[in-house]
Amino acid sequence: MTSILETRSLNKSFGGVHALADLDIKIYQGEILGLIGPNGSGKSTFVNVISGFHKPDNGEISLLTDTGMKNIGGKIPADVASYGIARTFQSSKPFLNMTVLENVTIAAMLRESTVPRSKAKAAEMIEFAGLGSFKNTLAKSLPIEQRKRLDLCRGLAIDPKLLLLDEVMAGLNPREMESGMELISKINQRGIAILFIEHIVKAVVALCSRVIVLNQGSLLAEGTPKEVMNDDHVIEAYLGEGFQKRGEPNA
Amino acid sequence: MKNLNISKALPGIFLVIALIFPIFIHHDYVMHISWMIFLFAAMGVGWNLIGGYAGQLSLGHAAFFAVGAYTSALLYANFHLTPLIGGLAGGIVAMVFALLIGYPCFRLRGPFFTLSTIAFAEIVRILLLHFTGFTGGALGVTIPFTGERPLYLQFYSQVPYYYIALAILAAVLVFAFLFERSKTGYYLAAIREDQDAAESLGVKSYRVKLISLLCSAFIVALCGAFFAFVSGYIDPDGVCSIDFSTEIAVIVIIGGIGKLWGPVLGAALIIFLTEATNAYLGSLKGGAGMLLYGILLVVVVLTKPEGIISFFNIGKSKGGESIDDKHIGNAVTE
Amino acid sequence: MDGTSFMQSIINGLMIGGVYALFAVGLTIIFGVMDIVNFAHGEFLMLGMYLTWALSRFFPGVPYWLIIIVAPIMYVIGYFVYKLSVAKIIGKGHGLYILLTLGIGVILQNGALLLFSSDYRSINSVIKSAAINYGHFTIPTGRLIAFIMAIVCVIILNFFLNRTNLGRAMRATGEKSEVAKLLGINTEKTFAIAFGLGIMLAGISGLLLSPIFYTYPRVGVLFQTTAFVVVVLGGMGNVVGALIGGLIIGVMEALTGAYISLDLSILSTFVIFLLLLFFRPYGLFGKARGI
Repeated sequence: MTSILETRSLNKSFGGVHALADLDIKIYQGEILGLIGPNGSGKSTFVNVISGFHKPDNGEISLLTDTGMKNIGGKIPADVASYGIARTFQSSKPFLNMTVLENVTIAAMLRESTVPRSKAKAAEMIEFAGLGSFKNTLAKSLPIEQRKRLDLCRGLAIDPKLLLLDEVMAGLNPREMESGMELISKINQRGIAILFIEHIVKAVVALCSRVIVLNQGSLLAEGTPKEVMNDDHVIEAYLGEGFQKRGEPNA
Repeated sequence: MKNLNISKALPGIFLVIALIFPIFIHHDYVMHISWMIFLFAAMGVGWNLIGGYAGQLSLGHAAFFAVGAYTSALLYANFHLTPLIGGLAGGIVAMVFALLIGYPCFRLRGPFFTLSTIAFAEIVRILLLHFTGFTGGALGVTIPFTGERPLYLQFYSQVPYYYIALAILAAVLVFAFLFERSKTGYYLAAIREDQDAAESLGVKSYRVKLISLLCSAFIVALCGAFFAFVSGYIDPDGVCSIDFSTEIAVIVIIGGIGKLWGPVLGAALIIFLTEATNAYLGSLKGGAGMLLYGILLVVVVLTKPEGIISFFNIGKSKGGESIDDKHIGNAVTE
Repeated sequence: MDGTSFMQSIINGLMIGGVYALFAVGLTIIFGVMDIVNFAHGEFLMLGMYLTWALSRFFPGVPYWLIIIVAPIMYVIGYFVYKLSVAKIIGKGHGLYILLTLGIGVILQNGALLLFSSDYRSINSVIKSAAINYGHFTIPTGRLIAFIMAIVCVIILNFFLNRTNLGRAMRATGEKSEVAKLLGINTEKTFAIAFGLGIMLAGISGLLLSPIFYTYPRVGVLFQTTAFVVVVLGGMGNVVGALIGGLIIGVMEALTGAYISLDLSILSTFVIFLLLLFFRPYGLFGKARGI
């Protein structure tokens, strides 16, 4: 499998706290990679560093481009976006006083030459994301589910190779989550690789073929969802030290 | 729907009225006031590109005005160049200056831009005062009136000035209208709403702001060139003072920041009020006009931050509640 | 270069730099606690000068003791300006803060112009021409007193911010007002006090300047632009930075005035500012926010 994104000994610290410590992570073409970890384990920092919002202290981030692997570490967010990485934010950030169409049009402008062409493309994306009936609604009056869809839709409109989703399921009810997951698979079927950060284990298990676990900024485990969920280290990291899997004798 | 049609037709109606107005009233004083309003409105529209659409408040735009005025006036004084070319040259010089402050400031978030516009305007003023041999220093530059010479914007009547200023305003408004609807216009609206989100979608906020500042500087410099030739005299304290910079900004804010027609309304109101206070209180009581600006500004900011244009439902622009928006020049969040 | 006159320039610069520092500290406190750049700060300095001038007509002589009247009055003015205007737009963004304070400044400046005309006023006292001679150096007494009082004020203020509960509350509010709220700090009250304090410092700066400078409606403009540079130089929100920044700018101006050209001395300040923007936008001592 070819990887679309690779990090090599990626480091980032904030005033002495090592948020990312020597991270080596690969994201393969076309996959949905789950990223889990306890609070403060560095998940969001990872997204922020990849997408250019934080500069890495050192290490490499290479992205597969038409001309081979290219180091994008330290590039500004707008450049990262034009290389083909889209992202969402943990607290959704729509342009509140614009309509859904305007929101997505702005994203579509990255690849389209004129405003009308961007609008046409945006309309298409809005249909795809199931937001057709909200096209002319102001973002600030959207219900939470549609707001999350708008986030995805905007990211999609920049024609990414890789989409970084930072807890897009938070705040949704089970039915909404179900249809959200459908949308994510639909996006994935277009050939877009997805990094799926989520707390909700059910969603990770259902969507991801592979999962990585972060703890205190370093890679704790990697494997299929099932393997990872049964990993002692992972359980320990989530539930605290001293907790052992049931049935195992105390050492 | 009916309202919408009326508001769409309004610019055309205004234009027709403005075009035929001098046929009925061409009293010199009225013409003078009118072209002042057009000129300040055009400057306001120029200021709005950076102060309104880009949300970067400038309190140093007099510097661009001065650069336009001095460049064209000195080109005329030294090389007898027509202001039609001198004005363009002034615009280009102003853009170079704009690049100089925009380049460091737009990489930063926070109030840096506003602060540096003030410093920049002061630098320009001090330099104009200091290099006496080149700029005439505090004495300024005089463009003597030598009879009716359209190529040098010299006319006996005030009416031609009226039409030239009207043409400048119309051109600037058309430009701003297209600007609002261009990619850059959309990007600016997005940046005002949420700079992080905009950048994550590929918007180079730094470059977009720089583009608006360049356009803004060019327009205001052009107005400066026009002013230099119409008034026939410029000096550093007149065209490059902090008060003048403030006046340009205040006109837009009172009229309606980030709105196409805001500056026009603001200019009409402010110029009219200034003239009225001067007429009643006389120039002896200097400060009355500015005091009025101050009071209006505070009242508008506290009660109607969208400006008085929000009383009329025209010139609504997309996105952002303009200055009421939290994201104008937000501080560093890291 | 003549060593004596060089040293004399440095002394002159330090003396006026002390007042720049005190004035800039007021500005930096308001910014640090409230995230507001007060564009009316120079006008409050002007107000302090007029107030001192007016009082000195009733109490002729050396005016420094008037600080016990001027300081509280300025504090109360600042407090009420906050309550009546700034408080109404808290949280609505930088744009509005700038415009509001700008408007307040325009009102004050032109109000003074209407009330007092543009005439230059001065306080006649022995201070005006008094000077201390020490070896080859001459130190104008008024500047020396201003310098000493300014430095003492900054020291007291720094003590207040670091050692008292109210001061700590202000610093906490500056760091993050949401968190401060959660900690039970009344941020509204803290803001009002910070604003009052900042205005008071501007007023005291005015008082210290009034025996040695002319008082006129536009006097604050120059000091304000200089203070912006000082504040950025010291790192916005950094009190000690503002102190050092004020001294540096004072010395720079004095040297430019002495060795290049008097009318370019202010220019050096602005050139420093532009260089800062390019190379060290967060100041020599760094700090984006908080005091």
